[in-house]
Amino acid sequence: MYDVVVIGAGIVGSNVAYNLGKYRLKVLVMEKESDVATKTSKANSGIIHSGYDNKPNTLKAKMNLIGTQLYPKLAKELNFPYQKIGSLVLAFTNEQVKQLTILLDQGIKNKVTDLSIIDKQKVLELEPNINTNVKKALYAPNTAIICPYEATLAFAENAVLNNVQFQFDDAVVTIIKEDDHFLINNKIKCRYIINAAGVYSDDIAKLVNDDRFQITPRKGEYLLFDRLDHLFNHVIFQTPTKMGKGILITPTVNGNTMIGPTAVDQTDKDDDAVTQLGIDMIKNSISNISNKIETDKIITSFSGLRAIFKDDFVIETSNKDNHFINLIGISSPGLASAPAIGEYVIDLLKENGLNLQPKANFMPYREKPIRITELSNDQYQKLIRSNPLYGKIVCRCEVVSEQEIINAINRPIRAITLDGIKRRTRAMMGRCQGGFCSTRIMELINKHANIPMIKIKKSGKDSMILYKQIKEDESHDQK
Amino acid sequence: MIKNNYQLVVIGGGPAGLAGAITAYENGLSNILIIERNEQLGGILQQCIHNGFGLHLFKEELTGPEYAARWIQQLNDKKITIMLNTTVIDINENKEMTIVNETGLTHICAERILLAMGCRERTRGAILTPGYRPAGIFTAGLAQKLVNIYGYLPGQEIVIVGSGDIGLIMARRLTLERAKVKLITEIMPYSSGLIRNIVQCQEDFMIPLRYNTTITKICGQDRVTGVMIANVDKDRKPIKETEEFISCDTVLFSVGLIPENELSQKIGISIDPITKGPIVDQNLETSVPGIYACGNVLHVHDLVDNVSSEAKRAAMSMINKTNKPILINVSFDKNIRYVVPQKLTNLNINELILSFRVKNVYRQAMISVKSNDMVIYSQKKHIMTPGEMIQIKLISKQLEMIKDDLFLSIEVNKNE
Ligand SMILES: Cc1cc2nc3c(=O)[nH]c(=O)nc-3n(C[C@H](O)[C@H](O)[C@H](O)COP(=O)(O)OP(=O)(O)OC[C@H]3O[C@@H](n4cnc5c(N)ncnc54)[C@H](O)[C@@H]3O)c2cc1C
Repeated sequence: MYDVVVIGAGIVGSNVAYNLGKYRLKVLVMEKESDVATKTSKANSGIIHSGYDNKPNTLKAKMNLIGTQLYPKLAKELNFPYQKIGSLVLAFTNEQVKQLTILLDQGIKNKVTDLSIIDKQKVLELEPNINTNVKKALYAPNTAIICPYEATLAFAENAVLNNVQFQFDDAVVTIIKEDDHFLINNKIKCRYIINAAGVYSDDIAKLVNDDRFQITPRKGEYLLFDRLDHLFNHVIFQTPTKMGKGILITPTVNGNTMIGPTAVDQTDKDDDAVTQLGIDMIKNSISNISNKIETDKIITSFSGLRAIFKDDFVIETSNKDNHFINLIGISSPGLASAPAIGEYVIDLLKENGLNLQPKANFMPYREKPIRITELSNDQYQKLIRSNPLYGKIVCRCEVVSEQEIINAINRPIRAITLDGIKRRTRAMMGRCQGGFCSTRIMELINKHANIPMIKIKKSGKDSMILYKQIKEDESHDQK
Repeated sequence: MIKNNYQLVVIGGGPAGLAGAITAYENGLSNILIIERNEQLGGILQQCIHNGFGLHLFKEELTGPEYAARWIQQLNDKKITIMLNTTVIDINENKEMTIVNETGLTHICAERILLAMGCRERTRGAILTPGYRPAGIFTAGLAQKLVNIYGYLPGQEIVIVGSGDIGLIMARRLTLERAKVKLITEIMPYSSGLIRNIVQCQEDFMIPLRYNTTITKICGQDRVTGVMIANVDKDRKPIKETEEFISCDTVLFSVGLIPENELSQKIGISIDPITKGPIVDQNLETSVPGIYACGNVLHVHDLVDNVSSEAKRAAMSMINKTNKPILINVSFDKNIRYVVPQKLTNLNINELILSFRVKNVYRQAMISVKSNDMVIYSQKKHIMTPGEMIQIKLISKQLEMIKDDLFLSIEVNKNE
């Protein structure tokens, strides 16, 4: 019997797991995909918003403010990249300039203290490569960027260190209430459930007959560029519209440039296909911001789905059962808010009768994965002396060594798919997109995770890379 | 860190690097180092098990590995240092570099550098093909490696996007392995591959090839389930009404090769925006003195024989180099995509080879080379296609006629 089962291992579920790891509880995270952060939490802008764009007095405003304050410490303890680079909202017309003041006022109501409106000259000083017809900008120096899947992984790995269990490739399909506990998928018993299933959280709520929710997936598409010689230093927004914050330009923590997202509502929760329309929309809007961007530096495109339900987050116990906590409609700023949501969930569990005893031996840290590109020559030299496989480069574009791949396979949450390795090490993420190194990486998965070549997956359950071994086939013929 | 000095450092141990190092050694340079990041020499040839290599240089039809072996053997009696599994991680215009392998980091100073890093394949991501991102999407070269080196078939029903040479060769290879190649799509009205590959790989195996056709979506969540294709209009944009679904479990992309010049850029070498390789002179010397480039890192070649010859020329010119600075830019008309070399800095040479590609298919057209509006060379060609690299040789008699400029043009009678 588990005390708590968390459904979903996105940033929200993983942060809840991290927070539950602080207490003497038996906790399981159930995830339908084969890794953490395979859905919305891997495909978003990665921005820790300063919080001026939330409607005042909403849960979004509240969670964003607290979450933003929690991130720096978490990033330090759990060793994930967090860069406070600041943001600009650009105004090119008088109408947009007016909007900046509205945003500024809203920010003040939301207790965001770092905002100011700066004039053209200052804007171009901060960002010399944007179009010179810019009039003014709202400047928020505290806006930060993270790598969303690495942060998710950091929360999850810390949770594992603190004895939280994770079960992958296990979709929750049934929940039955028996006396004082739930029975999930006819096999797992638990006293409390946290519904952190992202765009599917309305479906999960329905499993306990809570049918008040209807999530609309809102697709956001991106173009990812190779390192553009640091063309931009800040997160650069356009003035927002009713569909959201609009198409923005942001550096990533790894020095790439990302442009997007679009915002298109749809019905299919599994459709994260990139569309020609989306690509064209992004390309067209780039020129409004800057004409210095060369589209032949595009490495790839991708998209994520926002879980839209009305206008605000839903963070509450279900009206059907107070041992069932719904985290629904966690759209933007869900990433920025995740640490606050995690703490809020702990409060809700306490209110609803869960006995929370802090662990004396709670381990607040997570070891930083070794990245050879982050080392000085001397440090790197020493490392190779201690283990020569750090000197064997597997991924040439992102400069990743064989030992870093092996480490990823052996970490607390194992990377045994190509996408899993990619998200942990950056191998295959560069300009050749794995053309050169993916075979080598498959061999390493084969050897170190003991998975037959033919069974190695890209990501999902049926995403096998190879079809069959040719030699085997020939021996068939001889029979 | 250990420091080492070399007269010549060759970066890349494929056909370009091998021919360059061997030629340089035979002509008097000693103390040569070849740096190769893979575990063996030969570069991409090792996975090209089909034949057709070496017709020009060895007058034989060799396979890729055989062709590579011919060169690797020549290393035997030569004192050329070879470092495998070794990657250059830092390099500058003073020809100093940091390399890494399992023994650690080493600092290297070179008197000369020959860039021979080859090229990479353009990916689905780079050409922004819409759709999902399931398993079953490969570049043609990756599929070739899976089949020929690793012995695995990537899928059963295959659509190949782009009619580049590797795509065509893989169409045949996969068919021989009893996969079904359902279609090759080509966005242009002609193939970007060699005519002989169209004939031997596609036509002989009766694999459908559709010109003026593009892929508009990749379908399938976990594994590819099919693709949407459509005809394109004259601006190469898909025509919505012609969209149709083709089921398949694998999509191969053969949509072009890009010279790998990240190191060159680190050095600060000027890059030609069309070839995506360094800008070079008649010596194949880049904008940084003492650094030369050859093979696919310079511009994408159609035949390996041409790569080897180019590497030989680079090696010879770094030895025989004389300095008599002039500057003549090589320019060309709208029918030509690029010409290598891009500039001439010395005309006191025995011969000059101009390598170029055309933009379209031309029949019965005339290649003409002019200087100060005087024709100094012309040649009629039965057919020229974008898929082939064309070379012409100017000899000293013609070189003497060069004055202030050099202009290449294709005089077309009939343009298809
Ligand atoms: C385009 C875009 C841009 C964004 N930009 C930002 C930003 O810059 N800053 C910011 O703060 N926020 C941003 N967001 C919002 C942020 O990404 C999300 O709020 C956050 O990722 C949501 O995390 P999650 O854990 O709720 O969802 P997810 O990451 O989707 O996780 C849900 C998990 O539940 C699993 N699951 C579903 N059903 C089941 C089941 N039946 N059984 C088991 N597991 C199940 C799923 O597989 C998934 O792993 C953006 C979102 C989008 C789409």
